[in-house]
Amino acid sequence: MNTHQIQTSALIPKPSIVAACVMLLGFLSCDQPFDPRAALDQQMVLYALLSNDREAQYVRVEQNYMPQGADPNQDTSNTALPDVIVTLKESARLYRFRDTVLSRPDTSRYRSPMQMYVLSPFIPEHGKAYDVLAQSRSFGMAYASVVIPTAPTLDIAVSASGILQNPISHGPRELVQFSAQLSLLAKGYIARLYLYYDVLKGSEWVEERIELPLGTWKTDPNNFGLDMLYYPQMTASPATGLIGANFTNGFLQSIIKQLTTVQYLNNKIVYKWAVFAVLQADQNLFDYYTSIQEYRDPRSIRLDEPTYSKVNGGLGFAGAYTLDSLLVVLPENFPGNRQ
Amino acid sequence: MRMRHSHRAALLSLFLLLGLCMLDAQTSDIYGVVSDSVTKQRIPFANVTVISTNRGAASNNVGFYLIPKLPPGTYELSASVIGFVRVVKSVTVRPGQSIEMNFLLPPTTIESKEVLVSGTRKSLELERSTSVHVLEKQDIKMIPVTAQQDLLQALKILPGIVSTSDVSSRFYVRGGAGDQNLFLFDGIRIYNPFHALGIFSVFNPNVVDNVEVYTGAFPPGFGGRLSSVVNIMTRDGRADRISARANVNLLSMEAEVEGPAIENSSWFLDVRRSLSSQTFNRIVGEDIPVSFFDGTFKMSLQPSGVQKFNLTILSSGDNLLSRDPDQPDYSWRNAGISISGTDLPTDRLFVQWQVYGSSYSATRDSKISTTITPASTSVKHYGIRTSATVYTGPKDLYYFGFEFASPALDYSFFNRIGTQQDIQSTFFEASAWARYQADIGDLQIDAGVHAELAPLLEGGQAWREIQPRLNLNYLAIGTWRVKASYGRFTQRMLTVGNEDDIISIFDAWIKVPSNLPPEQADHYVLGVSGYLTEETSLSLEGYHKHYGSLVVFNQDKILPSDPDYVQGKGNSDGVELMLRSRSSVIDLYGAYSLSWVKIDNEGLVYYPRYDRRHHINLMAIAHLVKGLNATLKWEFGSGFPFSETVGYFNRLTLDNGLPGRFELETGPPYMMLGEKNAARLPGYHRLDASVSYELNLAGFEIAVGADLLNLYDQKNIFYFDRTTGQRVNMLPFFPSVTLTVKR
Repeated sequence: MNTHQIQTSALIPKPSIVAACVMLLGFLSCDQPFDPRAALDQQMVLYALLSNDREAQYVRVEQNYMPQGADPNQDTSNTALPDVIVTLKESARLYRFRDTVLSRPDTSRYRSPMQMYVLSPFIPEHGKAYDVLAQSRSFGMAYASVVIPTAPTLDIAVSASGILQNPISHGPRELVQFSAQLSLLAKGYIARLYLYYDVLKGSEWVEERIELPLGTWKTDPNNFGLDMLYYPQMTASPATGLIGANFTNGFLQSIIKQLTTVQYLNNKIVYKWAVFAVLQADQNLFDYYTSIQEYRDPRSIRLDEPTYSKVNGGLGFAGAYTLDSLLVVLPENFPGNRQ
Repeated sequence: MRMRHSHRAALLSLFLLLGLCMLDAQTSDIYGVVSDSVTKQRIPFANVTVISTNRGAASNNVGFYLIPKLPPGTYELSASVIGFVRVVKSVTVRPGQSIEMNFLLPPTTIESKEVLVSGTRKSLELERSTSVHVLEKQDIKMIPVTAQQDLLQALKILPGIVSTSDVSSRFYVRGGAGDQNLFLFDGIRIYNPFHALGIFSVFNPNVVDNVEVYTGAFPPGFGGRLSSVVNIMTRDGRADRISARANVNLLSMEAEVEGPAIENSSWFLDVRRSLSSQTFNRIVGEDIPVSFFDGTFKMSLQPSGVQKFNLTILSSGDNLLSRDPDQPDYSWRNAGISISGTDLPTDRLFVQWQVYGSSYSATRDSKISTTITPASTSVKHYGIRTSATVYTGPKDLYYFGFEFASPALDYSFFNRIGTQQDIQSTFFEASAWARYQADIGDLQIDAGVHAELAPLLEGGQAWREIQPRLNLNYLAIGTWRVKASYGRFTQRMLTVGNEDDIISIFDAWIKVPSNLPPEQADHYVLGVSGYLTEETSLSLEGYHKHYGSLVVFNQDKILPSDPDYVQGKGNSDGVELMLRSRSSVIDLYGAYSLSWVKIDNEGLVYYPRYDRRHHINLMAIAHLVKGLNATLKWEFGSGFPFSETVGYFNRLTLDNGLPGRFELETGPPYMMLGEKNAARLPGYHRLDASVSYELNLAGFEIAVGADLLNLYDQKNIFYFDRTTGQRVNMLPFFPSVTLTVKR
C-alpha cells in the first residue's frame, strides 16, 4: 500500500528563521564591481609596407594602449614610439631608418603630426628577401620578414591594342584583354587599367587618370552606365601565376563620353596612355589584407572579426608589393581629344 | 553425418519452440490502458501491479500497460499513480486468453474514501535510467516565474541545465551548445521554441501533460542532436463536459476551451497572446516592443480501449517591431501538425505511429539601417515515425522503430562584405532503432542501437552512424541502485551566428558544411541513486562527454576558398547531485552541478561562453493549507567565462594603400582580447518566492498567484557593453500576479 503521508511539520522552518535568512541574503546582495578590462598587455605595433613604386620606404612603430573610458576614439594620447631603432636587413646589408614626421591628413582624432621612420632613397628589388627589425629600449625587439615578388611579364592582346587606338569604332561588348605571368612569390594581385589624360584647367595642363571598372552591379548586360560599378580587387594568385584581365570597351566608351561631353565639356583634353598596372602582394600583405577585408569571400557566412599578424614580438604587419605596368600610347586622333 | 546432426538440431529447436508455445498457451496476458475517470485522458507512468505477486508493469507514455504470461487464476490488479485514487480490480485469467483490463482512476480532487497515492509517479522511469528527468504539469506550476509560467524556464532547475541569463529560456545541457537540444512537442520537431528574445518558450505549460528531459545518453529512438532531448507530451481535452478557462497575468492573456466532440473523443483549444510590451521592458530593462501569440489544438479519439488517435496543431508567432527606423524589425513563426495513433495489432505488440510536419521561419527587416542587413531563414521538416514494443516476457521487452524525414533549410542573408547569400539544403533523414530491456536478477539491462541509415547509404562511416546505446542498472543495497550509461550521437544541422553573441534573436539553421563530418559525441554516465529515507531520494551522477567532431570557426581562414568552418573537438565533464524530499506538508528539492567544458579549435582550447563551474538550485514548496502553496527558490551559479580586454591598437585597413600612402592612415581602434574566455564574470544568485491559492467560488475554480522574483534585488550582470562601458544587469526585483478562472 503506497501511503506516504507523514507528519513533517518539523521540517517547516519557523517564520523568524525564514526572515533571518532573507535578511542575510539581502545583506549578501550587492552590486559586484565588474570591469572587463585587464591590465594593458603592452606590445609594439609595427607597420611596414615595402614597395617598388616609390623611393622612400616608411615604417610606423607604435604602442598599443588602454583608454581611460570605454570609447577608444576618445583616447588621443600619442601612440608613436620614438625611441626605436628600425633597420632593414638584406643578406649582409643593413639599412637604418631615420625618424621623421609627416603631417597628418586626418586630424579628427589625433592632432599631432605623425611620427615614423623612413629609409630614403631606397627601392626594394624584385625577388629579394628583407627583414624589418624594430628595437626599442622599453618594448624589446619586433621583426618580420618580407619577400619582394619578382617582376611579372605583362602582355596585351592584339585585339586590345586595336580597341585602345579607337574605342568608338568597336562594339561596346568587345573586351580589352591583357595577360600577365605573375611572380611565383606573389600570393595575391590586383590588375587594373587606367586611362591617363591631360586636361587644361585655366592656363595649366594637369595630368589626371581614371580607372576602368570591371563591371556594374546592374543586371542589364548592355548597361555600361557609370554607376554601381565594381573594380578589381585583391585576388589570390593562381598556382601557375598566369592570369588574364579583361575590361569591357563599353565602359571605356562611357568614360570618354563622360569626360569629353560632361565633366570637361569646356576644357581642352588630350588622352595620352592606357596603363595596365599589376600590383603583386607578398604572402604577409595578402593574408593581412584579406583578413581585414572579411576574407573577400562572397560566400562567407562568418560573422566574427579576427585579426592577423605575422610580426614576431609585436602586432601589426610587415609586407611588400610590387607595382609594374604596361603602357599603351594613345594616338593623337584619339576620339575626344581637344587640343 | 553432418546432415544428421543438423536435422537433429533443427528437430530439437522445433520441439523447444513448440514446448515454449505450449507453455505460453498455459499463460495469459493482461493489458489495457490507465485513464483519468473524469477527463478520460490516458495516464502515463502509472503502476499496475498484480497484488500478492511480484508481477506488475508501468503504463507507457500513452497510458498503455501489458503484463505478459500470467498463470491461470484469479488475481487482484491495482493501478496507482500520484494525484489519483488507487483502483483495485479482480480478474480471472484462463489459459491462452488475453484479457483487456482498463482502469479509470478518479483524481484526488474528487472526494473519496479510497487511499490516496502520494508516491512519485515517475519513479519507475527514473529508477531505470541515468540522465532522465520527468516533469509534470504540477511540477512546472510550483516554480516561481517571470510573469507567466513557462516550461523551459522550469527545466532550468534540473541539474546539468545551464542558462546564461534570466531573460532567456534557452539553455545548455552538460556542456552542449544551444542548438544541440532536440525539442519534440507531441513528436513535432520545433526548431526555435522561443518567444520574445527567448524570455519564454512557445510551450504553454497548461497544455502539457508531462515532459521527459534526457540530459545525456538518451535511448535509441532519439537521434540527430548531441546533448539533450526535451520530449513534451500534451494532455487530452476533457471527455466528460465542456470546460473553459481564462488566465491573465502581467504579460499575457490566455483562453482555453475543451470538451467532448463525438463519442469517445475530446478536444481542446488553447490560445495565448501578449498584452503589453511594458512588462518586457521591465524584464530586459530596455524598450523592446515585443508581441507574441501561440495556440495549441488537440483532438483525441479513442474508438476502443487500446486504440487511440490524436491530432495536434501548434502555431506561434513573434514580432519585435521597433519604432526606430534605424533599428531592424524581427518576426518569427512556428507551426506544426502531428497525426498519431496507437494500437495493439497482435498480442504483445504495441504500435505507435505518427505523421508530422513542422515549419519555422524568421525574418529580419533592416528598414533604413545602414549597419544591419536584411535576412530570412526557414526550416521545413516533414516525417513519419513508427515504434513498436514487443512484450516478450515478464522481465523483458523489445522496442524497434524507424523514422523518415526530409528537413529543408533555407538561409538568406548579406555577409560581411555585403554579398547576398542564399544557402539552401534539403536532405533525407532515415533512422532505425532496436532496443532490448531485460531484468536479470538485480541487474536491469537496457541495450540497443540507433542507426542513421541515410548517411550510411551515402557512404557515411559505420562507427559513426551505427550508434550503440547502453544503460545498466544494478540494485546494490536496499533501494540503492548503481547505474551506467553510454551512447553515441550525431548531428547534421546547426545554427549559425557568432558563438559569443549574448542574445541571439535571429537563429538560422544550416546543414553541417559538406567539407566536414557531422558533429558527433559520446556520452558516458555513471550514477548512483536511492532513498535516504522513505521520503527522501538522492541521485548522484558523473558524466564524461567527448565531442569527437564539432563545427568551429576556421581561425586560419585567409583565402576566399578557405572554409569558414573546420572540425573541432571538445570535452565536457561533470558531477550532478540531486536531493528530493516529498511530503504532504513540504517538498524540498536541491541540485548541485560541478562541470567543466572545453572546446578545442585546432589547438586553441577554451571554455565556451556557457561553461559554469558550480550551479546550485534549492527549492522548498510548502503546502500550507488546502489549495494554498508557497514556494521559495534560490539559485547560485558561478560566473561564466569571457575574454578580457587587454588593450587597443590602431589597425590599418589599407583602404587606400594599394598602391598609396599606407603610412598616413590613422587606422580605427581594434580591441585586443586576452586569452579566449579565460576570465570569469561575477557569480549569479537570486531568491524567488511564489504563493498560489486555489478555491471554488460560485461554481468557478479560481486560482490566484503572486510571484516575487529576485527578492533581495541582486544585481546579476547580464552583459557589459564594451563600446559604451555600460553594464546591463539581469532581472531586478520583479513582482507579478496571475489570475486563472475555470469552469
